[in-house]
Amino acid sequence: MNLPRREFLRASALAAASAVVAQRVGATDATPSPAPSPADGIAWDKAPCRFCGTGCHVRVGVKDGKVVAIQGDQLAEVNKGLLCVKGYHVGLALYGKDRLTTPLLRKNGKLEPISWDEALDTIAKRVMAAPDKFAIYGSGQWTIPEGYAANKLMKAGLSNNHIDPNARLCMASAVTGYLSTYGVDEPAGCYDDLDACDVLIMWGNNMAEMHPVLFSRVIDRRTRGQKVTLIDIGTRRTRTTEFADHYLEFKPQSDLAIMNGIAHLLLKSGTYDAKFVERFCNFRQVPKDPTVAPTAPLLGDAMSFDAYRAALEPYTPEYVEKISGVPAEKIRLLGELFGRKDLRITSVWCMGFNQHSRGTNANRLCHGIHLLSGHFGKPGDAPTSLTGQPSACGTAREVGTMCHFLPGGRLIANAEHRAETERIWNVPPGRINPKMGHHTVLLWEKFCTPTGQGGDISTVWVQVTNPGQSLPNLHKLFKAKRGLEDKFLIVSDVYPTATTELADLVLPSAMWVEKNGMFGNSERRTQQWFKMVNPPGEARDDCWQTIAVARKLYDLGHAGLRDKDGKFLFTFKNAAGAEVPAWDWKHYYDVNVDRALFEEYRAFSRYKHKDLAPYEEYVKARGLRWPVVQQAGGAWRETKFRFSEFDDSYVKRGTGLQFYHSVTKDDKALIWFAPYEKAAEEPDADFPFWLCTGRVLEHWHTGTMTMRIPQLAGAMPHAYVEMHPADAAERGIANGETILVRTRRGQLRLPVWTNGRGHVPRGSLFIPFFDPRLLVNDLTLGEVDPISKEPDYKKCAATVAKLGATRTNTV
Amino acid sequence: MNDWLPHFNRHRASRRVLMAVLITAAVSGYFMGLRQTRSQVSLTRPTELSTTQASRTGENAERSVPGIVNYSEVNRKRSGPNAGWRSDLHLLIGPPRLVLTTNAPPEFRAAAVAQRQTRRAFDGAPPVVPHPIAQDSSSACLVCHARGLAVKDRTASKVSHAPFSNCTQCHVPASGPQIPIGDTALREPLSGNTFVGFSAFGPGKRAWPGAPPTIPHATLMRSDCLSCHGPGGLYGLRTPHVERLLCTQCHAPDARLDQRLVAHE
Repeated sequence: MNLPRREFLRASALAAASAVVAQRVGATDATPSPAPSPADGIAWDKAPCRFCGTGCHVRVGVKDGKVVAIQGDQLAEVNKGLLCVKGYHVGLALYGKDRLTTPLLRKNGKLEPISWDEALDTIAKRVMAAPDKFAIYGSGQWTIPEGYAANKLMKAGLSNNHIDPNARLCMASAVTGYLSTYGVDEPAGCYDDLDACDVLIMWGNNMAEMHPVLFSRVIDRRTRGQKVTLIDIGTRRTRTTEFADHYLEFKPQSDLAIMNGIAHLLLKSGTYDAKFVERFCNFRQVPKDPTVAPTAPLLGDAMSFDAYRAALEPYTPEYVEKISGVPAEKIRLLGELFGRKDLRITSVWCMGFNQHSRGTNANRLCHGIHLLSGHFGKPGDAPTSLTGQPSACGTAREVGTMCHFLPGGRLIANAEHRAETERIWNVPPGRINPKMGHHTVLLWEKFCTPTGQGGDISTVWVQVTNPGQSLPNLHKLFKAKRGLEDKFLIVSDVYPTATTELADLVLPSAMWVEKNGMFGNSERRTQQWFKMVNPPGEARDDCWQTIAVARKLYDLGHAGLRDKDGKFLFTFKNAAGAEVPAWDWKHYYDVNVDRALFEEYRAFSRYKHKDLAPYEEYVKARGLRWPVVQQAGGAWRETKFRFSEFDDSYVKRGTGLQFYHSVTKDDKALIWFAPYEKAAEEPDADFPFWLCTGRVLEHWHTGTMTMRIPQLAGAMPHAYVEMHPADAAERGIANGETILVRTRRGQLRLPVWTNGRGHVPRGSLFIPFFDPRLLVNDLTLGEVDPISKEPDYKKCAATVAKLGATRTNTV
Repeated sequence: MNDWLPHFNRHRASRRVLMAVLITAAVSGYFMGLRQTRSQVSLTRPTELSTTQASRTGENAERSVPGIVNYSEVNRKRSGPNAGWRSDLHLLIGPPRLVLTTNAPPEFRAAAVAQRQTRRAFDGAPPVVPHPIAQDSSSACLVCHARGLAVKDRTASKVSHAPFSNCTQCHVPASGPQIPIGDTALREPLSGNTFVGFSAFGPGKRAWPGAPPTIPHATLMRSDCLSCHGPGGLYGLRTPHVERLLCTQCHAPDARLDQRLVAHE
């Protein structure tokens, strides 16, 4: 009775197996192709999750050319078989009904289907007409090869540095924090610290919702009978608070004062780690005059220990209480914890520190209290920033797709770095433009400014991101494009978004397991996956789009697309050594372009000791943490604890700890002093509320994918404004009532939620940014941190107004 | 009207009695109504549970003078004469009922599988929650789901895996937060979704009629068999021998469904 069904299963399994083999061309012969399991008829393969920076691995189940199931990968160290609700439903992100499946060009105000060839021609002609007014705006969701190809096209091909990723809106302050403390980007520790710490401090970080798998990794230790103390230092009560032993609610921006207060207490009580500080640390302060030299704001002025002590003198617990609203006794509690040598303390943070008008300083101060107290470099003793995007580290930071970076931690401003990059790219000396490009906020400001008034960017190509929703102050930085006839917006995406609404050309992209890819997560872990299903319609890989446009420019005679030997910049050879025309979509998968680009990029990774292993090693692994160093026997070994002798093979024997990229060239890290300073905009009589924006568990960033997944959209269908019930009562506002929230930049009508997901204190509002119909970034501030150029999405002044009988949500 | 009014006026005594009965009923009804609301047990959002003597009897100094509680905090603080009263829902669970002696008929199994599918994107996906939840905390989930609970016809299934405490990490309500918004258009999805999940494994294989069937599905996050196959499970999936607790003694899992073994092949 079961026989026909079994026969059918076997037949479809065979069909699926041959389909998989066909799709896997380009993988090495050593790569096992996943055959359908005879137990369930599903072909299973590994991939990192598409969503956040945690970097969980999932097993993707494919049947008849479609993703049909997802499992947490038990072999993955990051998540050990567990996922969050987004991860379990990540496969559904491919199947929203309104996938973009054909290129669209705006004709007479309407987006009309065109051919790929016409689309590529349109872009190439725009670039040829004004190569220096062209910009690429990318993302921390670019795969490593995608970001590398775009970076090379711009910097080597067009001698144009106007390329920046959305990571500028998200990670830039963490980068400047690491660079100015250790001389090299990215955390020293890793997620293993979460398994070893006695105290976990979450700084402005709602980990239970934003990094739930990592949060569970910590709280599950309690279930196993271990003691771990959780301290939530935040500006509103969240689900994280419910699990915390201590909750310290501070006034926005006063985190700077709290960290200075901890350093003050460590010095006062003498519980700082004098030996550690003497051996491994120098002191720095924010320069008095930041205009002296361009690098001065990043590297600061030297400072003596005595001057450091004197600068911290005013930050008594009582003074900090006055600024922050956190009781002095709680500041003392933190001071005492950091003063204890018998505890391992891990700090984590994400957007609370980074999206901060003093974001660089917030990052520096946090590293500072860990260094001052010696809570550094041992498992469980680490200051670690978490990322929001799956490859903010792997692509934006390591590949260096920013307007001031070259690959592998090199700088555009540095002539040696440019020369070395030109050598690896085999382009003539001087090809790389020595002038930094526009950072994100400036880039969009220039694009939205009429050409006659200094708007020197005329064409922007957006890949894998949605600036029409995620940029701050949208009226100024995005919507002002409307009506500027000579400006041209190109958008590669998978669904219609707030960005495609203003696009002149829309390119349909392949996503996630519809293409080969590599990501790099928050803990320096580089991950790889293979294409498993075909993209819908005419949707194609972003990396192919970049290479195809490059080829068009080559064909049109742009000299920059040729290397020193006159060869096309993106030349790929198959195993037999024959050149493969990868710019022709029919031949794109004749060779593994990902592997070819990654192997080329690997050459950049040694300089800052971010060594990457060969591509094949990542095929076998569930990701590897750099530096991945080859051992005597030929095996590749990852590094969990950077700078620590017991684990990092680049540390000189006998030193214990060595900051081998030290800013001061003496193997020491920098402890910074930075004062508490007021926020860029604070509440006043006209705008009496703090407005904070952020995320919710169910949705990932601008909701382009998660709002199309029924289980996630069902659980959280729309945005809202969180308000304290007493504030609402005073104004006669009921729970669920639609009100008007207004700032100096814009206004938005949306429903009030009191006593909902989170609990804001009086005088505060919180609005999530995932809902494309309720754009909170119409209200946010465009002010940036002066060093990292990252905007502050967490603090601006707002007011609310009751709408009376009106209950509509049209703005 | 003119007929009965004079008649009624003549019987003043019976009028007084009638009024007294009415007033008594109204007043006592009003107070009983108040008490009813206060002591009602909510199945969807149990308040904090406590079984200590002090909290049961309300012998707590600060409780003796009820303070003014802000409406927003009414769920956190309790006051009034019933502040110390707690319901322990576990006390309401009866012992496992041996409801089956043979396997449920196939149509009931099919119905049970179909019902499971309505709450899962694919077989193995975490089910969505079919009732409203406390949005700000997971602490309420395990009150019912840690051990499973049946009250009348409502069943809270026992968690099928080790009790991770951040329940809402994976399980989200199917029909959103209960914000009483006026504009229901906001609840409409942006677009449909054409995903078709792998729906269900067949029944387990038997070596011969009467042999114990193998386990037909992966057991990752489904390690507690009784969650679905115990007395609290759906009728079509229940075991006919709930008294036997060591399931894998007779029912073998399929190694080909264990990703740790498959990956090392």
